[in-house]
Amino acid sequence: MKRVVLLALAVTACQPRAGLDDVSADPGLLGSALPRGFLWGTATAAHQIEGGLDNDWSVFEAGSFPDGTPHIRNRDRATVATDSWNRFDDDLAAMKALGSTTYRFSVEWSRLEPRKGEWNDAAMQRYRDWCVKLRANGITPMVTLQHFTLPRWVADAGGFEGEAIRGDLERFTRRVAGNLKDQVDWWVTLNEPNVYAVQGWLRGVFPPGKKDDTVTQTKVIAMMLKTHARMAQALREVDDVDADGDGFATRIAVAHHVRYFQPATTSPLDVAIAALTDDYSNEAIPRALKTGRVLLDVPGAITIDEVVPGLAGSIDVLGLNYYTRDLVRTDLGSPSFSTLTYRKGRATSDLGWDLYPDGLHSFLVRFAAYGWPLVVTENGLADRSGTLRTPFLVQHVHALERALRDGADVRGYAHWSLMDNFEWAEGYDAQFGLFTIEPGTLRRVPTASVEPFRAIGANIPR
Amino acid sequence: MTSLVLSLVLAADPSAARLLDSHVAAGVGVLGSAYTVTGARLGEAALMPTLSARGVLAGFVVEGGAFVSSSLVRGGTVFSLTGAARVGYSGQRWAVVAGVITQVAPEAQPSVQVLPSVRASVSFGAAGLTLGVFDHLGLVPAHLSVDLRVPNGRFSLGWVAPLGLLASADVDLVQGFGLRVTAFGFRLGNVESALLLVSGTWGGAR
Repeated sequence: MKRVVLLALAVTACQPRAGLDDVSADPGLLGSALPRGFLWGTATAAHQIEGGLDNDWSVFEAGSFPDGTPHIRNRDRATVATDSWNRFDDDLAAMKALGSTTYRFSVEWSRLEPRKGEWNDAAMQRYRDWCVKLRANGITPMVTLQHFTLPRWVADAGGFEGEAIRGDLERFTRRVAGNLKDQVDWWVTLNEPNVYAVQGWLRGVFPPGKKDDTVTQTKVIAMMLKTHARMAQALREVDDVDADGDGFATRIAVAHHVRYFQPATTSPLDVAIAALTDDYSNEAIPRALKTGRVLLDVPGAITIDEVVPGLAGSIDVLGLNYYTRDLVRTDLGSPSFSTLTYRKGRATSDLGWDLYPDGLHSFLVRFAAYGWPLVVTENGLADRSGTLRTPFLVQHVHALERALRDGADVRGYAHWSLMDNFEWAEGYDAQFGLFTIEPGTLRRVPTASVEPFRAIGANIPR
Repeated sequence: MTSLVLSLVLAADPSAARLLDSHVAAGVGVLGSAYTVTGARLGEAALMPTLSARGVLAGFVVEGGAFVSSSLVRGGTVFSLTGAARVGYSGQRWAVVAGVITQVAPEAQPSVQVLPSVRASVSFGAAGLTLGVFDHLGLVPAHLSVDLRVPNGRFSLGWVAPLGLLASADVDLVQGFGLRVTAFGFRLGNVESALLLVSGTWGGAR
């Protein structure tokens, strides 16, 4: 009863704003419509939380754009981040306070293989210890093998622009899987190939910091899919242990970033460019994972149409990272043919992102048509004030429950993020955490959304 | 003011012997637009009040039109105002008009979008052909239509490239006043668009 009251208060206390639409269901029962065994938890990435890393991002963070603007807002660095490398027990305590049953985190390639062929066994053992502790606390580890960062030696060899990375990441995958196979079944090979390519080669705000190069950007996405196929094959071969006893030794996913592309106007051009953008950004990767055929098209610049061995059937689960909706306006002078904006007058995150829960429902129902089980591998918002996080959470879980009713097979939800952390080019300004980090002490401090998050999780049938 | 404009437009070519005539039309339509993806159709409908006018003087043609588009879906496409301006020439058996379609959407970036627009018609007695690019206020990318004139009006049926149909009917109801119904639906790649527009016309049905 107390839980119901707390949830009801949390929801009603929030000012209704356009974009966080009214929920007809009783919010106090939220979570009860999720299936038994539903994975409920949070997500992080190594570079954003661990601290003490030396990789391509460490180099990028120290640099500036030609006009002198720092690569990272406020010249922030991930040098310490949330010091999670040394404070895992604090992170685990936060997860337990949330009632988590899963934790998605990444293992850092640059830490485990700082130089080609040189392995840091002590670091591997620490990741293994984390998995053991998670499982001992009823939290299923979901391990991401590559989350935006590369060891310097890989980046120096061209990263995903080169060919060598396929073999290098496959070796890395075999090494990690060999060490964690009795603890981990849920694997995410790559995080957001589309974002990685767009930010690194179109917008230039991620390493290698190149701009307006849609040709290389497209080749990078294709190379990431080829690399994923090799990683997935390695996981199948090496991880032969069913750690959680559900009959599957591996549950392989790609964490795919999706954005709801709304034509800005009824102009046929805007609709056509929105369709083109959607196909490139949202559809091409799941289609390739389903069919084994990489089909990427930037009209007038590059078309890739290639069948990749091992790609079809390489995933068991599709991970969806969903945050926002964009208005797509035709801009033929732009390499992407469009300008993306957000609707005025709607609730937005601190990054100006439109909060659009219906988009999550739309994507879950849409990608259910491919036949895979789905996991929401990221969903959250930057909200320094903390006033929008609870309604955001409630409405997105409500959208998830509606998607289940509409036939989508959704197996889990990982909120981004467990705690405030180093948010890439946005530095520490963008606060996505259910826990904030106290300056100086780095103590994990619960936000007002921790209790609603826990209460929803407690409603999930066990 | 409106009646003054109407009078000027209607008085522009009293002979009315050319393929195009002078008229004013006002109506309201519903425009649906969407793109389809695996397992879903993402789109919405918008309300579309329109106003258009054409003046023909000594064969020289001036056309203008405008519509506003307001989404019928909460939080859908943003409000926009679209204006069309075309000039050309009309003989007795052929006519050509060309110009621009300018859409202004204050919330969008860039807020102004300009498209070319062309329409060419040829007549073979009661029947004729019309070719249009970004015709119908810029909403139809390309069409080829067959026109049929009857004593009390005109009917058109056309193909919209690459896959679609366009149909319109102009019917004289009483002297100088008529009814126009325009409808189209087309698919271009995975983009779909459909319109139903009902207008009243003053001054002519060609």
